[in-house]
Amino acid sequence: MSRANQSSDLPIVALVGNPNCGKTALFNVLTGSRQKVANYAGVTVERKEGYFLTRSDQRIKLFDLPGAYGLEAETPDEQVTLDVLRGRLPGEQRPDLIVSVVDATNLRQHLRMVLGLRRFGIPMVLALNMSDLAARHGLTIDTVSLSQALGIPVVRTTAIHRAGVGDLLMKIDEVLAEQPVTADIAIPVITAETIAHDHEEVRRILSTLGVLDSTALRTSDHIDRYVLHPVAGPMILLCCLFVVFQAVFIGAQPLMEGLNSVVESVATFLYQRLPDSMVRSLLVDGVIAGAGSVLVFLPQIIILFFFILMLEESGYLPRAAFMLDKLMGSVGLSGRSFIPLLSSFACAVPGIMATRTIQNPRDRLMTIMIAPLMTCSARLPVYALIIAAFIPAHRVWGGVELQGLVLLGLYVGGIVSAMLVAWLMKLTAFRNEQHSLLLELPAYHMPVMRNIAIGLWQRVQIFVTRVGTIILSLMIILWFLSSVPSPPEGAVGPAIQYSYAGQIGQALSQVFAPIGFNWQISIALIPGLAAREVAVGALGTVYALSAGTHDVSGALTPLIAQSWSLATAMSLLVWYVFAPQCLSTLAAVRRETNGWRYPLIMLVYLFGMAYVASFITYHVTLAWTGG
Amino acid sequence: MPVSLIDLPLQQLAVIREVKSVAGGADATALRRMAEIGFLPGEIVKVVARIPGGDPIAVRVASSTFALRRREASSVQVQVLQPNE
Repeated sequence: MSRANQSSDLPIVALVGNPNCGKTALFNVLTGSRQKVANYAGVTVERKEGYFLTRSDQRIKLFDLPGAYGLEAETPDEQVTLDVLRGRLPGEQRPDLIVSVVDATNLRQHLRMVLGLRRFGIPMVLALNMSDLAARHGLTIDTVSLSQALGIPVVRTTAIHRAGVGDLLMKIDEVLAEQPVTADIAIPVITAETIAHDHEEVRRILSTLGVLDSTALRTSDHIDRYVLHPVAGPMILLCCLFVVFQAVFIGAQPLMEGLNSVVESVATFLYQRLPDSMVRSLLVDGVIAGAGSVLVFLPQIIILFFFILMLEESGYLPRAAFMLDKLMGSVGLSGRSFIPLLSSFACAVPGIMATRTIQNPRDRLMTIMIAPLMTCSARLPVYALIIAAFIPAHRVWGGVELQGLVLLGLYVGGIVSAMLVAWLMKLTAFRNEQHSLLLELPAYHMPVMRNIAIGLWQRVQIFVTRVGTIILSLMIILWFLSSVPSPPEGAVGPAIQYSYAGQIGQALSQVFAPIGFNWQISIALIPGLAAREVAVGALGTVYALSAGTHDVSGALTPLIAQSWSLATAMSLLVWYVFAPQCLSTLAAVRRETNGWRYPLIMLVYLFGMAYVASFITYHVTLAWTGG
Repeated sequence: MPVSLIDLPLQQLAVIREVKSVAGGADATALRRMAEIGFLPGEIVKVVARIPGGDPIAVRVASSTFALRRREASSVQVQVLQPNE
């Protein structure tokens, strides 16, 4: 081995190319599962790194650089790609070799990028990707001539079928062996003239190859006649959304119940085996309850992301964004906000993470700020408890379930207020900023299960580690606040009443009295800060349900139906539509916006809205019920 | 006679004559980006879909399809291609 085994000394190869050139599929084929996803330092651009072996058993470190349309760096993604190629990104080494990936069916556009990349003076290999698709379109590209015209080795690849990967590995070996990286690289300046010049150059190359005018009618064009049809298009979109929601909410149900019972049995097992101590309480009420409250949402998140990835891989998602652009534009958002907001119905955390696909910083920020207003699944246990206790289970208007109608109303309430907030932001903080859409609608592809599986696995990992660690540590802190100090000798009330959380809750009940919350609710809101659904368990504790009650919600229903007024119940429901009671969401916002400014603004505006809306609800209901 | 991309009938092939800044059209950044993604003189375009109201539109340029808002589309001057051309 000529090079040391330490990963810092490995040769670095970077995949560079336009978005939608099949770069990530090629990355997956080369590295398999030996890859990790993180962020570039200081920015929220995804950094994908992996390893592979060449033919000569040389271990190579591979980067999948963010997709770029040009080397102008107009988006954070493109800035990262440009900085890495210049060797100017702190903490990142300059690549020893570029694998420039192009879509063989779209040479006209993608070859311009190759010409631009050539200016960096880094050794390069061209991967002519999707060459099977090109062949099917009757497009045979003479790789020898193309290689001569460009002055770099050209390899035909078909990432989804692994074809050509062997050739690519061989070429990488060859080029790494002969061409050392020059110490100084030119930093090309790209102007309208260079683009026009490169464009001419591409035309010249393509005409020598005899593939200049290859604008045959594609299968995608046929599909788009229906999918983007003014009438059929929106209906297809609605059907898709309906299927996704049904799968997320109904399909995930048995899995969530299964996970819940596993968590409960572990908790019960530990509770029975361990002696009564602080340690037992910390393990059972802090650690297990904390981890369980996160894990229970995993089925929903997996199912939702499965559909999102399928729609993304197939090429449908950008088309959905295209159709919704006008509608979302009316409140100052763009079509691109659609995917993150859709994800937020399962959980705002992956939704906020998904805003990375929005290139415009203003659109991205607005989307992040309203994402928590989408009704996430953590609100459901609270909604279910209050609705079961206060809304009679009868049918109105010829068969519509009243309880279901109230639930739907809460969902719609969230969406409408999100639109309102977006519209207000458009009028105030984000005024007068117009920008372009320029969204690519890539050719349709059959989704490749391997890529879906890798994508799903990465998201699950991110969710579990990021949210898991944050929520777990917060749950432990809240457990501490709720159990210390222990009640004095001869105390009659529940233990939590005497703890720090209880003391804070009682003080807070002064603040919450105008919106109808009693001290029991106020106390339950404290542990409920970590995650919304925890409030149900906390209410159980406050109302002194015996420990080990299996169905907390079922036992609570008659209790609160008796002791709360309808006005209090309605006020709490409305509170939950707005209140940002999810520390992991705020942590995600802090991470995605690189600072405390936006999570603090979010915290204040959402609590403000919650308080005002609950105040109105409480007093209107009071007046209406003759209180 | 050149027309703006906004007025090009659906599925009608046309050739780009000029991409320029017009009142209420694309700004400098958008114009540069449009050149990068292939909106350049001499390229063949067609409008493949329009959202009711005409904003945004989906445009096929060379071998790619892009969604453009009205503003950007208004900056693209095209010449309709007759079937025999």
